[in-house]
Amino acid sequence: MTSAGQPGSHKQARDTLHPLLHLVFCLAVSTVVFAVSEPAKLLSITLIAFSYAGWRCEGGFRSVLKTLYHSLPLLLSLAIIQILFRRQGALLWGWKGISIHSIGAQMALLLCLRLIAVIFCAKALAELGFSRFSAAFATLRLPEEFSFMLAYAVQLAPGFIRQLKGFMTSLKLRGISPARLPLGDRLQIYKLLSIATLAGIIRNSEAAAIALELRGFRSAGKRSSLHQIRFRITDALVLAGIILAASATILL
Amino acid sequence: MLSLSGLSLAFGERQLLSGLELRLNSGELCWLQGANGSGKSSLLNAISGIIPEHIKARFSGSISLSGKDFTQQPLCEKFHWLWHAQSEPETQFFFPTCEAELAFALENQGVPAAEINRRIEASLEQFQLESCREKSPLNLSQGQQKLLLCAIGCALDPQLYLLDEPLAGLSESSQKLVLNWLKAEKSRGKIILVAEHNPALQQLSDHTLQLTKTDSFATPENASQTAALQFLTPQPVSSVSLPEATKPEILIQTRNLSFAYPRSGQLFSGLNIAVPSTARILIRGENGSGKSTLLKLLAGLLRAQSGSVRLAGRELNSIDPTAFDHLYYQGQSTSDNLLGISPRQNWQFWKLALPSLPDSPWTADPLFSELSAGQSKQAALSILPWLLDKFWLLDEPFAALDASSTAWLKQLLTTKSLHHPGMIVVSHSADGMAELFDEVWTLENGCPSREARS
Repeated sequence: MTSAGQPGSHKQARDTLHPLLHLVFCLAVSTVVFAVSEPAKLLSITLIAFSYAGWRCEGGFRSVLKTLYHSLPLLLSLAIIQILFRRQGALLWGWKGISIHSIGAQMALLLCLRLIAVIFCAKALAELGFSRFSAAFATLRLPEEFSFMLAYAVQLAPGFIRQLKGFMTSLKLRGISPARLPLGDRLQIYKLLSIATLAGIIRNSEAAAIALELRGFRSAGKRSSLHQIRFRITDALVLAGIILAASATILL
Repeated sequence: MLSLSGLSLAFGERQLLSGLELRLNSGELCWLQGANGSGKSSLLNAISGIIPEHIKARFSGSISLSGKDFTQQPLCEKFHWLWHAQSEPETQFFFPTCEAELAFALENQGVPAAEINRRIEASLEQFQLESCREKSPLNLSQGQQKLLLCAIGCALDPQLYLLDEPLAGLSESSQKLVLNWLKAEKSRGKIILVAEHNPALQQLSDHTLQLTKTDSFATPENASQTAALQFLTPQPVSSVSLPEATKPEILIQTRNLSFAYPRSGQLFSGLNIAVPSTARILIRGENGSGKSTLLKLLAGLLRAQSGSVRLAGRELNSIDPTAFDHLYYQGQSTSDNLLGISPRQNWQFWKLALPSLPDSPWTADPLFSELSAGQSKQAALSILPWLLDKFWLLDEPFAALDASSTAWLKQLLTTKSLHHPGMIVVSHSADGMAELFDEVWTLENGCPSREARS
């Protein structure tokens, strides 16, 4: 037993719901944010996604905010493009050839909120390991391969970043600081490392596939489970709640 | 009985095995020996079916287990009869806990939950990994990961075991755990094939299969690749003409250093050590005692919860490129020590760090994925002769090396020790080399006990 306050207690609390509900929740949020266009509603949904991701993630809200921080360049770039190139609605500000219009600003805000909500959901989903994806899909009676593909897909981006970070560490251990190199050398390094990272991901995927098959992944016959994850009445009620809330948000 | 008949294996034009015949009866252990790149892992891969199902190669001959044609079985069904532990443990884990890793194969066999639980407990106990049950396999030391692979096999309880370098990087007591387990499995009639450089296996071996390295690249386009692979074989120690940096008396110092991994107990608490620039230290200790972690802390790869690490008087809070002015760290995982996708690219990166290095000695550019674990390790170590003036932090440099590469590395360490002192080496395989070190540290409960050498 893990007592409250011990590191495992948070994990246990996070895993009280059936994993299928997490998939449905993230799917619902990611759908709703693209169906809703009122900024206030969208902000509320994004805050819900933020709270959810903070609850789900091992590192809590700090880890979620860190992910948001790392996504800022992408979000800001998209926002700036929307602001500068959508010249519809009232003129809010202008200077020489640059102008900001109300529709452009609103679209930038909506796009950012939508993407932030999706990023939060993806972050939360990445916490579901293969075994819990597997349990979720088993409830739907879908093949194990689907859960493997999804479990692997959500780990791809974090895996890419992890591998790239590993290479950057190796560079630093050799006394190389890319920031201090001439631009040509720096670009060459980034090119080589990107190729190596992709090659590493492909190689690791192959190694993972071999390791899993050596332990009977995709084998015929009935599987058993060390920890049964039953779909309880509470889970059914939560599922119904998610579907109702999502439908209401879209329709009302 | 395991029977291999007329087994031939070739990668492109390179014939690795030709007409191999092998019969192993129940309760017999076959020890596969040979230099790095001689085909030990490939033979195991061919028996388990990874070749040709996942790794493409020209393969012929028959493999049968208890009269059943094994080559017709798909890889995903072979776990009913065999367990294959590959040499690089970290690529074989997929789940968030050791328990889930142990349970996966049994769940796929449809074993009832109570029986899975019983087998997990027994196998964890067999390898003294009870405290690791809820830990992430990726947070274990490499030695513990090796033990976990054995524990997975133990829980699966198949008829045939294929083990690739199971003793590499293990402490003496962990080696005993594995050897005792193998002995017990033999007495239970299991068939075991082990690819291993460690002579400790001799006591259990009923057959020895010596594989010879065949660098027989027949086609002209592969001639350059042959030259590249030849470079992997040990080279004479080169002299170094790098400028001698001003060395502080105390190079590395820790003050009240405390460290713990997430969801694990305290590993170091208030650790104070001072390492002179010319220190020659060998670190030993049980697997999981914190040897690799200590090296990572000293290199700035890990951040202490409290206390400090100072390098040449400067606080080292994170990985700092300027640390390379003083030291070079090489970790236990070979892939972490290589950059790019091939030895030539790796050398290109080294040339950025050390412009005075000669041009790449690689006339061809084999991918790292085409090299064996031992060959990749040799590629990573090949830079050391050019870094003799640095303080070395080496983690298990001998693991996975064959006899000739081991001899080369010993010669290199001797040169370093005598002419360019300054190194901390973590190794379970440096028994005959104690005279090269001033101190031998044994890590226990996060505290190094020191045994000064005369």
